[in-house]
This record gives sequence, structure tokens and C-alpha cells, in this order.
Amino acid sequence: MSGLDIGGAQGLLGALTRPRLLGDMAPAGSGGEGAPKTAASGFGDALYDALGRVNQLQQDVRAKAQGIMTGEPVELHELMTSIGKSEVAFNLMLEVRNKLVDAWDKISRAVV
Amino acid sequence: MTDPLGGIFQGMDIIASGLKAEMQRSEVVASNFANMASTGNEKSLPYRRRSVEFEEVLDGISGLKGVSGGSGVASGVRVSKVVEDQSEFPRFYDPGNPKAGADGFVWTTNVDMLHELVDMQQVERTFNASLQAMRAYRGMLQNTISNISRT
Repeated sequence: MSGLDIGGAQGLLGALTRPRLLGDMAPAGSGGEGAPKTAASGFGDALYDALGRVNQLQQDVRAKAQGIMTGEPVELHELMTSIGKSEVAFNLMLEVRNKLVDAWDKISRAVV
Repeated sequence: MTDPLGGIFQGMDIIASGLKAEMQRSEVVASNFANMASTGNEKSLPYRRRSVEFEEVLDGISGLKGVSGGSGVASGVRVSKVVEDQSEFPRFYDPGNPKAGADGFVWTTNVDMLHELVDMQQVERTFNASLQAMRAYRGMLQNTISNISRT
């Protein structure tokens, strides 16, 4: 349930967005000019961070479930909250991915 | 760096803090029930009824890190302290009791069973209400997310 490893997907998306393709296309108004360059600036990096967070939430669920099974002081409602969070985050990630794939699909079918 | 997805779980953390607090309250009620039959006298006092006090938590809800964003107007709850009921112990005459004092009276706890039953009921209802709130909150997030694919 929680053990889903999305490391592969992370690598894939990383490879997709690393070539400055999406980063260069970011509009200048959205923190490009003037704004200090931080580690997470481009869309690709933001996506990468969000993916990391989803992964982290899932690992949290795994740790809590394991804690309950092994008798560590984890309360049931904590596990429930973690599962809820992880589920919502995963579905959000799924929707963002669908949007992304949709957009790519539209671009690839564009007549030039 | 801002925490992606940080703010949207604020409500969940607040509800979780309520669940935790109610859990602790139910433990205190259970302790009152368990010690209901305790007896004593002037020298060794019987069990005193315990009750919890709640306080508002504005930051670091449920001890989780990374709770940022959100509107910052809502707050969670936690048990600030467990207090003992200082009311007088009821006493009854039983000279044969090993706990009986010189006057033949035995002191018993100030736990009132009916009071505790009502407390337990209250804990249960509050807990269920919190669970319902959690379900509603999750449903709201899910519905919003499924709206993404429809826009």
C-alpha cells in the first residue's frame, strides 16, 4: 500500500524536465527577472520537489504502519491522518501528471 | 524553500490534534472508572477523580514539522494538564474494613459513576464528530482535485 516506490517516476520526470526546455519557457513575470535565483526556480524543479514530498508522505505512512505493528507508540488516528494526506497528495500528483501528459499530447499533435 | 503541499493539510492536522486530545481524555475517564472502588482514610487518601484541561495550540500542531501555509487563523488543541478534583471524599461507616479509621469510617473516592458515564459519552461523540470532520475535509480536497481534470 505505502511501499510504492516512485523513485523511477522521479528519475523519468527529472530527465524530462532537466533539459532547460520547460525552464526557459517560464514567463519572465513569474519570478524570473529580479527575483533571487533559488534552488527551486523552474517548473521542473517545483515538480521535482512536489514529487519528493509525495514520496515522503508515503514513506511516513509506511513508517507509521510499521510502528503500529511493532508496538511503537504510534496512535491509530495518526496513521489514518497520514494515509489521508498521502492519498490526497498522490491523487493531486496524478492529476498534475495527467494535465502534463495532456498538454504534451496536444503539442505533439499540433499542425505546423 | 516553501513546502509543496504544505498548507492544504492544515485542517487535517488540526482535526488530528482534536482526536489526540479526546483520546487522552478517554484515558483519564478510563482511569476514573478503574479506580472507582478505591478506599482510604485520613492517612492514606483514596483516589481523586481526575479531569483534563484543554488549551489552544497555535503553532506546531500535533507536533508535526512542515505545517506551513494555511490561513493561520485556525488552531489545534492539546491537553494542557490533568487536574484532580478537590471535592470532599464521601465516607461510610464500616468498622470491620481494614481501611477504617479510629471512628470506624472509611473514605471512598469522589468519582461519580454517572458523571463519568456522561463524560465518556461526550468523548465518544466528540471523537466521532472529529472523524466526520476529517472525512468531510478529505472529501473537499478530493473533489477539488478531481475538478482539475474537468477544467
